[in-house]
Amino acid sequence: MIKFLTPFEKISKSNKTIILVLWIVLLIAIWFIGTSGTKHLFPSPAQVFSGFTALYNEGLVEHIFNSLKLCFLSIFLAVVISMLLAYSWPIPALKPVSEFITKFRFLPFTGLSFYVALLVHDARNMQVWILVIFLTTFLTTSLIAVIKDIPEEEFDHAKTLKCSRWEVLWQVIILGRIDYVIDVIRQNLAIAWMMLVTVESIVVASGGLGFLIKNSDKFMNHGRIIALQIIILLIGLGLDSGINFLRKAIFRYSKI
Amino acid sequence: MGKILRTQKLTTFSELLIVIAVIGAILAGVYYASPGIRTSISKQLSGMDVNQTDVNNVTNAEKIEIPSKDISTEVSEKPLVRIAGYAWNAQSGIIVANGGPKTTKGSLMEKNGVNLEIIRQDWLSELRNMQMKFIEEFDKGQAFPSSDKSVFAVMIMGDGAPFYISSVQKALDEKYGKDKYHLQVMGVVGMSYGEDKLIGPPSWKSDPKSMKGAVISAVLGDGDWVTTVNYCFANGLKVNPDPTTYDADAVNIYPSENDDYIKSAEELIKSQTTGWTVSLKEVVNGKLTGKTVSRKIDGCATWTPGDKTVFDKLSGFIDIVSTKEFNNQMPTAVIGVKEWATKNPEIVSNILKSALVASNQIKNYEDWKVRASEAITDTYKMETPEYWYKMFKGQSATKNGLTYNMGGSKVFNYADAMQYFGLTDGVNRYKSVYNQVSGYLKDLNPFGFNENVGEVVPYDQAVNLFFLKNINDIESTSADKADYSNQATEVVASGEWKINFNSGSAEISSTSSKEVEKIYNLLVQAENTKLTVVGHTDNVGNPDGNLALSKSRAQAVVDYLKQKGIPASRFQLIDGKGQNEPLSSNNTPAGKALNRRVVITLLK
Repeated sequence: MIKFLTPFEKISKSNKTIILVLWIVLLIAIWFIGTSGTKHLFPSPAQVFSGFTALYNEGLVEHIFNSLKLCFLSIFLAVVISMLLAYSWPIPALKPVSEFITKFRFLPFTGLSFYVALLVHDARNMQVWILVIFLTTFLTTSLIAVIKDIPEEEFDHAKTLKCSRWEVLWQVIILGRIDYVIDVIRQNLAIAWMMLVTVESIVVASGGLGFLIKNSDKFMNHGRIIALQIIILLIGLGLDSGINFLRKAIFRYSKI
Repeated sequence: MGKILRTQKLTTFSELLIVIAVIGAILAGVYYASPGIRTSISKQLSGMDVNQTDVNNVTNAEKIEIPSKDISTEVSEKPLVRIAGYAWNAQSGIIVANGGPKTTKGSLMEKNGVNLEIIRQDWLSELRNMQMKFIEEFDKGQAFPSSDKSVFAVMIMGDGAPFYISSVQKALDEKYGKDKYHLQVMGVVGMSYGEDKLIGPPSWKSDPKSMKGAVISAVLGDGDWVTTVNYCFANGLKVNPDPTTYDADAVNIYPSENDDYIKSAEELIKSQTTGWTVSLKEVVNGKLTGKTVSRKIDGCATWTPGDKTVFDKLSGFIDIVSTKEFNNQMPTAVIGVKEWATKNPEIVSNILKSALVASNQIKNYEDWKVRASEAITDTYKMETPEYWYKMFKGQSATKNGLTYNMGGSKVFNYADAMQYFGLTDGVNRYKSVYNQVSGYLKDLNPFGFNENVGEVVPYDQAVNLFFLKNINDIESTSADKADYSNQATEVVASGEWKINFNSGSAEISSTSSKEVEKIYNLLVQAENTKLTVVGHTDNVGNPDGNLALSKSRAQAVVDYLKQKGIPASRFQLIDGKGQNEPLSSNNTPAGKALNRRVVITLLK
């Protein structure tokens, strides 16, 4: 027992699992006990469960897929744009453009949607482009940071192999850091996933988890709110580990 | 990868493909096996109308000294009570009664011993949270919760009360146990009188049926939305409240971004100026066709200054119908915590008393109106006193030959408030509004009301007139009365209601009683309009007999409405057209059913 309380103590995998399970059981027990009386701050498991069933019957799965579709489409577009911006960063003439874009991540979107509407005439596409604009600023910033962090030796190494400057860009930056790009996407996914709720409330016609949680909040239906929070959290975690799994599977060297 | 599938024979890439395919197949299975998104069907109620005339308002209250702008020291020892509300002109009375956001020297609140703070809060969810916070503190034993984030009452539009009270009640029941705490409407202190409206092209006014297939941006469940829905139903139009679908046979409502009425206006503007569209799933006869259509926003429901923004930016749009026509629809309701109020009845009654007395001064004296606009500016911290003063009275303007109206509010004196609840003349106007909107919540299900809340708190539990009735020693005043003495000429709305009569009889059948009740509720909301009631029959029987029958059926509807309290002077015409104006062919039973109808037109 003392072993488990000693700092930096190495424990076996099964022990780790036991500790994790115990914490989860404790959390659930606190939830059940804490919400067992007539008065409680947080909705009880039964309320959350009935919220979940009601949501399922109203087409929860389709809403989830709507949200995922929006999320993936936006990320795909944002990745293409920010890669172009980030890879042109080492070129002096284009450098200011990329750096300029990264500064926009401090801008709030309120009030700007009117101008996006001038360019994008369809409400659904508007949702996508709002997310793309947001994500591009964050992704470009992260990608430029990745490039900045490449050790000088790697460039020197490429140079000694008689690579031209364009070849250095291709070999060291683009090919050499593609696994980092996936990791950057993974980290920015959380921003996109969180933004989704806000963006989906702009065009409720396309549904999605954001639409559902906003409606539930409007009526203070806490059972549904917490059920949706749990769903959003689990899907977010699932996506995160899924992408991580893909990165490790495709780029085995990145595990090192 | 090899470790996952326990084989070394496959390449990493092949394994990856297999893993992705299997996960994809599982997800696809879940997707197809799970229930689809629910869509709702467009609804139609019977028609209705409204007409508006200016009300006669003659009272001779003795003038009271105008409150100063200095904070009162006299009530500073008293416990502080707090009320929050939107930036809304119809609250002028209660605000000037306080002298501003905090009780001032010489104000009516001071005279009645109330230490009141009025807080501006434009988000409904935040108003709700403040009231929930109050209950939380009260539940912990604080007799007068007064933390920054808590208020014992909120002021919202009374037609929004079924939505507000019912949703909060569910949360309260879940959190504190059933029926431990309640919110109740404790009084009304003013009303929107033209400020909230439906905006669209002039054709919607001249030919309301041309609204069919339109898309209107609105905040679902909000008072502007109610005005729109009332207008549709008064004209016999179907309403499709489902934000995800488009029904060419109905008026479609598109919910505005962030539930913001300003966004409703902006969505109309950007759709008209940039060609911005919304993609909606097409519905025909209540069934999805599988197609998606892109539609522009054709009109919006909004309030001041949203209406001003539209008229400034667009040409060819006018106000179609507003709370001036549906004059009883949107009172300024004070919704308080019942359990706290019953412990402090004097405070609640004195707040209402101060507000109603100040309102009477506003109605009688110009300098009180000016002082009220200053108190409003001070409380809301926006615009100028001149702006609020002008918008209180309502403004008209002309652009490219089209006249449109903006703003318009009223405040209630004691007699107005008593009359509004039917305490003096037996016609409970608020009950009509409350029940009508409750019906809309259930039938139209905005934002999934039925799934989220389920039941509406009934009128008798949601409204508590004890505090209003408890007011004594208040100056005797007279209430605004609708004036039906002039001939009305302009059609506000004209609905063809299918009211069933027993064959050959002029007795309204029991199956239609609910429908007639809805018509009655609409007519009460549009109290200032005059009415024409015209009966029609199918071609069964002889023409002369049918003419007489159609007249007696129109009369039966009139008698019913009169017995419910609609004054006889309001009916400008009661007539029957017999079988002469069929809507449809008399060769089929369905056509005949359509032809047996009573048309009620609202005129102003």
